[in-house]
Amino acid sequence: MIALVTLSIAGLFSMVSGIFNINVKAVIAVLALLLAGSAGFLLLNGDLNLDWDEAIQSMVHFDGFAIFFTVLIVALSTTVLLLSEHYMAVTEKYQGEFLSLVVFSAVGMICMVSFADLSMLFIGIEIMSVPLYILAGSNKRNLLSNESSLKYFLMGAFTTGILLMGVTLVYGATNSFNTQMIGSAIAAGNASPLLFLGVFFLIFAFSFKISAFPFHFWTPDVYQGAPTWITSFMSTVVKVAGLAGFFRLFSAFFVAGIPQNIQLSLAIIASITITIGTISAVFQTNIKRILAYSSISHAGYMLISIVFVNKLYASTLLYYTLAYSVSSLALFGVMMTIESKRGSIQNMDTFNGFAKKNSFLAFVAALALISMAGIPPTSGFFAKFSVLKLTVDSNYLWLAIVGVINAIIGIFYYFKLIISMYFKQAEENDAFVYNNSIVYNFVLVLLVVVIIGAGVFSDLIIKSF
Amino acid sequence: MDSVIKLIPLNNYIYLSFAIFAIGVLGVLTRRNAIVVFMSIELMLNSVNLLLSAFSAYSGDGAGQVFVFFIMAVAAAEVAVGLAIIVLLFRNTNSVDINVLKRLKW
Repeated sequence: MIALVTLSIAGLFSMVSGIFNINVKAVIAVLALLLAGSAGFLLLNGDLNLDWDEAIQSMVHFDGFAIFFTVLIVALSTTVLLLSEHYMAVTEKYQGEFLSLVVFSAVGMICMVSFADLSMLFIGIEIMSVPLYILAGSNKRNLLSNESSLKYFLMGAFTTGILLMGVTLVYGATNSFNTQMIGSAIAAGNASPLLFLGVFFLIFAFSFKISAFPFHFWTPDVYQGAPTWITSFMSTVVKVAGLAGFFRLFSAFFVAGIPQNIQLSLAIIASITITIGTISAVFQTNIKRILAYSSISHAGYMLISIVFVNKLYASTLLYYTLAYSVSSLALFGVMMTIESKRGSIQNMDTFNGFAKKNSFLAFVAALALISMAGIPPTSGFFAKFSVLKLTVDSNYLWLAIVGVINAIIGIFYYFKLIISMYFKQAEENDAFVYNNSIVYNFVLVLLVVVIIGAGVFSDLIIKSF
Repeated sequence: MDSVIKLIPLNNYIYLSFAIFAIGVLGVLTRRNAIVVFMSIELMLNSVNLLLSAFSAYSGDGAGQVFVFFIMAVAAAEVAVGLAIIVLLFRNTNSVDINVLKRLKW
């Protein structure tokens, strides 16, 4: 709760800073401190439960799951804000507004991971999405940005309708919006067929938010058109929040184990998502689209932890989201550095000969790619491993096989990038030397430390949650 | 005294809402004008509102009707953002036809 309040105040502060022309760097610094402070406070002291009314308690509930995901979301948003300096350097106007939209979006995400009532889930999803529609189109003169914004908005509003239909049907079947009450109604087992229809509507709506199979096709278009730092926000933090919300919803619904038919359809969705993401990424040449498809396939892997939804498996999801978003942010950090000198990156050739004069940045990118490909000792490997272990433990062997085959295919396109960085010559004599501010490089180093550290101490992390 | 809503069986509300919802979905999938697509989405949301109030009245639980207000408020916020985005697109392309959106493809 304290995180929600702090974040809302931080959002208001950065909005006001736009009016008074406060230097954007100062605003980012204050925001980062505020966010990191509230995250640290949460982690150390649990939640400050002031004497809230019963009514509020039944709306949001900050249990361990919510606290850990809140900390993750706040930490990742702070990283995104710190990595936005190259974009902020070329936009003169509305910088404060962009920052405040990011922060408000994070407020929505915290509602999404801590809800105890479907109305709070709905509000959280909307608070998260509406700023994102604006942010995707924040490059106003760029047609690609406009287009991605409109596509994202139309698809997002459409899935809002589907989500609401799902919520309504569940409400009609159980007479309650409270997830606990719904859970006990489902466990009692006399729910009407409307309930399952509603649950399927909810699955479709969430598969849009996490860009899983039936609604994945907007992802590459939107990721390509949006400004890169927004893409990095959407492909990491937003996805984490979507998956966490999905997990929380289903673990509250199906306390007594997930029904067979829903489990099977989720498993099929996960396997198709993984396959589509991997196969399509192989044929892409545009780097942002490759990352978009790779994020689709990672969403499929993360969906596996929801297939076997159970409160005990929350740590698997948390670890995977941590590993994925950290490596993805590191890669985006390097990409944004390249963009700052080259304009927008279109082709993979931009990376040719990159390692020659930028050994540090190339190392960060290579490590991020290795982690995303799932090669030990990086955290990406242990994340994939723990997810696939779930499938084997639950006798879903075919899902494990699909996962392993796609992980191997995935190595192919991740290594294409590494090869072009290290072993190919730059076409012209323009092997740029890129330089970042100290803070930027410090963030990159921090990300590298987390990628390796989370891998080395993976056992400790998974068990301690 | 029963409310007027209960004069009609609950099933009929469900059929009606599903019909309106389906019309909305069809509109989103087939129409090419961004504003008409947008109207279709609003139709979907309104069918949900209708169904929610029917469920709420039948179960005698006020929460559903409160939720309707949430939906209306959020829909208004979405309209504000959505129309702004459509205006932005119109300024740059002089069209609100979603067939214009073809630049992002592989």
